[in-house]
Amino acid sequence: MTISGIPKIHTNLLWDLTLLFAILGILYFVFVFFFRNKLSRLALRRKNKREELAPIISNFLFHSPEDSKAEQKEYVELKIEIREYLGDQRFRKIISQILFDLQKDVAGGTRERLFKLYKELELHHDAFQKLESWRWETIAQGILELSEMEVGESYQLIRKFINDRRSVIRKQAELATVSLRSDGIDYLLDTTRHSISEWQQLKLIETLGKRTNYRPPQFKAWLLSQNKDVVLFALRLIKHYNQKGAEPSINELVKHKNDEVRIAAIQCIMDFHFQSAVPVLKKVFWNTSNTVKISILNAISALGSNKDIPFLKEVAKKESSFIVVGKAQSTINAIAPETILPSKDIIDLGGGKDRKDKAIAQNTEELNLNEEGQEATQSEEIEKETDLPEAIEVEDIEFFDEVEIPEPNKAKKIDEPFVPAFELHPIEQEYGSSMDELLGLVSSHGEDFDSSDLMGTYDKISYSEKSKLVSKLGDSKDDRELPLLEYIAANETDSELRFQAFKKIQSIQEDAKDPGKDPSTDGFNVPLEQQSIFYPLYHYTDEIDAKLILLDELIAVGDGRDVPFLQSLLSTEEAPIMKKVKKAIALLKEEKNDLKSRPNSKKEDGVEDNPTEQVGMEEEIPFEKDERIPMELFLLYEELGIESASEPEKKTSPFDFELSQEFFLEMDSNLTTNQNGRNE
Amino acid sequence: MPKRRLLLAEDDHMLASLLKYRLERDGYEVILEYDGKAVKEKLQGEIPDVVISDIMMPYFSGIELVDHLRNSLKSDVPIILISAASNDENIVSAFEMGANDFISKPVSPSELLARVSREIKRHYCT
Repeated sequence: MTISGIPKIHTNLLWDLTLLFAILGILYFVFVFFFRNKLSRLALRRKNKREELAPIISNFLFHSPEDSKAEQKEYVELKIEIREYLGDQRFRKIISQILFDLQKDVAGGTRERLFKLYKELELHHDAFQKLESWRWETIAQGILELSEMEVGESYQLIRKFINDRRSVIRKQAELATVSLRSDGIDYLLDTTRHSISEWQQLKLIETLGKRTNYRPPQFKAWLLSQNKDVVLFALRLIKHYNQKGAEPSINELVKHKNDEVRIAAIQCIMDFHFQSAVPVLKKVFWNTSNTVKISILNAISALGSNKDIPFLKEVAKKESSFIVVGKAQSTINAIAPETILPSKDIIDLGGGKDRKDKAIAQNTEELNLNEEGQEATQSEEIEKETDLPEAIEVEDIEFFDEVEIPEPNKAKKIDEPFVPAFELHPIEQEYGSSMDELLGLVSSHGEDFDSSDLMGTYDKISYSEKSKLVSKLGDSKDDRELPLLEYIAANETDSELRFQAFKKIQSIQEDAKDPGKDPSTDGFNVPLEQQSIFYPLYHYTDEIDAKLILLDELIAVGDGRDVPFLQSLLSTEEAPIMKKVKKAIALLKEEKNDLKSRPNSKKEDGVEDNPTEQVGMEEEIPFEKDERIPMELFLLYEELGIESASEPEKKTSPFDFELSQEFFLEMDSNLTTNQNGRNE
Repeated sequence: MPKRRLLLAEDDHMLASLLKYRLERDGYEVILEYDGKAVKEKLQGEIPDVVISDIMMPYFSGIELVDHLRNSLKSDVPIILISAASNDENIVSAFEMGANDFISKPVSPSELLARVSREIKRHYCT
């Protein structure tokens, strides 16, 4: 579009539009100003009227037949005056508003008199008229006024609004119905077809609570209602008024189609501690949503016993939702504490099997604590069903079943569970096998380990893993490892690994020939390389960086005993580690030689004789036996006149440096002068 | 016996009027004020025998009024506070400031009278 294509706008038209909008603006402001003033004037007039009426109302409220004659006369005059005013609709509105506001601020007898005055002035008829209005806010206001002013006659008029389609009116009517008559709640629960919000339920309960001498009905009657909100409200009321007689009905509601009702019923069951509901809860569990399942598990944790544990284990096993599984596990622990231990991201220290065994033993023990007892077959089923975080295997359970511990003192039933005759400390149980492994007492793979199983998989593993495996097989000193080592020596393509395997085979064979002699151990059956404190730390990680840092530390604080450990690393590790290891060995050996060459070192090993040498790397601290003391202490002795300091033969000894004879002579003369001065 | 002078500070005109009427019927002389500022001004001139004050008031709250009476004017006049807000903090701070009594809304005029009477007896007749 070109500029020439834009239509022309007449300047006159613009001026006309400006004028039009200016006029509209002015009119708008005038309109606002006018109505604002009008409303202000009206409010002011009402305020004045209220102030004018205040003493009259006070007079009415506090009038007594025993008042003086003058007051009686004034009262009658006011009554006549107010009757005249009441003809005016605006006045009626104001006075009913005053009374309505005032009833909120006053209590006791004054409030009662206020309600009486309201009725005497027939102001409630105005409220009745409001109920006939077509405007919802007017009807709601009328209902509120009648209920607050406790106009009992309005009950019949108000209750018909309970099923009004307009929610504000309906809610107001519900509150008024409950407030005006004690049987209002019955009518409400019987007739309401609409939902009752939770907030509204609380308001209704609050309103019921304000009623004096209120005797609640048996709310279980409304548990049969077709309106689910009525059922929910009835459950809430049952709980509020502690009506425990509804146990069978509440238990039955657990089977309700609606989840909200189910949850409310479960909550009720928990609050009232209905243990009879547990079988029902378990029965309905599988056909409910996760939210209900969690509620059921909560209830079981509060009401359940040991006999519910199999069910919970089944839940933990079969459920797909991790929330429900987690809840089931926590419920098991709530019933039988510490049955399930943390398993996620837990480092296996070699006692995994023991831990599983321990868990099973604990479970078995707990299940047998059950008062009713269970048959052995059932116990087996339970154990098979068990799906603890550490997956329990059937073999593990059989292990317990097969072991028989003779107990002559007690005649035990056959189906009684195995109870060990001794108790192991949990830590011992946990780490027993790993300690044994470390000490070389048992095979690292357990009794049933067959190294031939590994041959098939050996070829598939990486070089570093192969290297570790060969090292571990050799370290185990178990001749049962020989087939695998031979297999490696024969089939391994890498010459270094082949050589390692060959060396390990030789070592094991030598050990087998002379079991009493172990060149790599110190007599305590622990290999020398494993005596280093760095050994477990080093094998804890696979990261080369971490290992290099550890080796740096070893160089800094290590001693001669770490050399065998370092030597064991020479044949197994990566190039940077190898380099560092060589350096460390060289440095440690150098330090060892330095220590040997020192004049104070008495023996090469020196362990028994000199404790400072036992440390190895530590500097020997020369220890003088001539009882020399520091110079400051000497001067202090002198100052205080302690005898030992003045003994001439000891004067030469307290110093660990040489002083001239003149210094001591001068000091002696000073000391003598001081002593003489004190004596004088 | 001269009439006891009560200062009633309440911003709700209707309730103030009602209480004033009730107190006067019982023989007290009631000075009515509708906001904290007016009460303070009134207190500069003369201290009444009892002060009855709402906590929530324009300009100055009832608690500030107690503080003013006790700390600025150094008066030990009995103070009764009225409030709809029956939260613990208000009540506790009112008593800490030196209020003598507290009454919560809705107010029963008869109860207020009894409390006023008790404070007068306690303060002036012992």
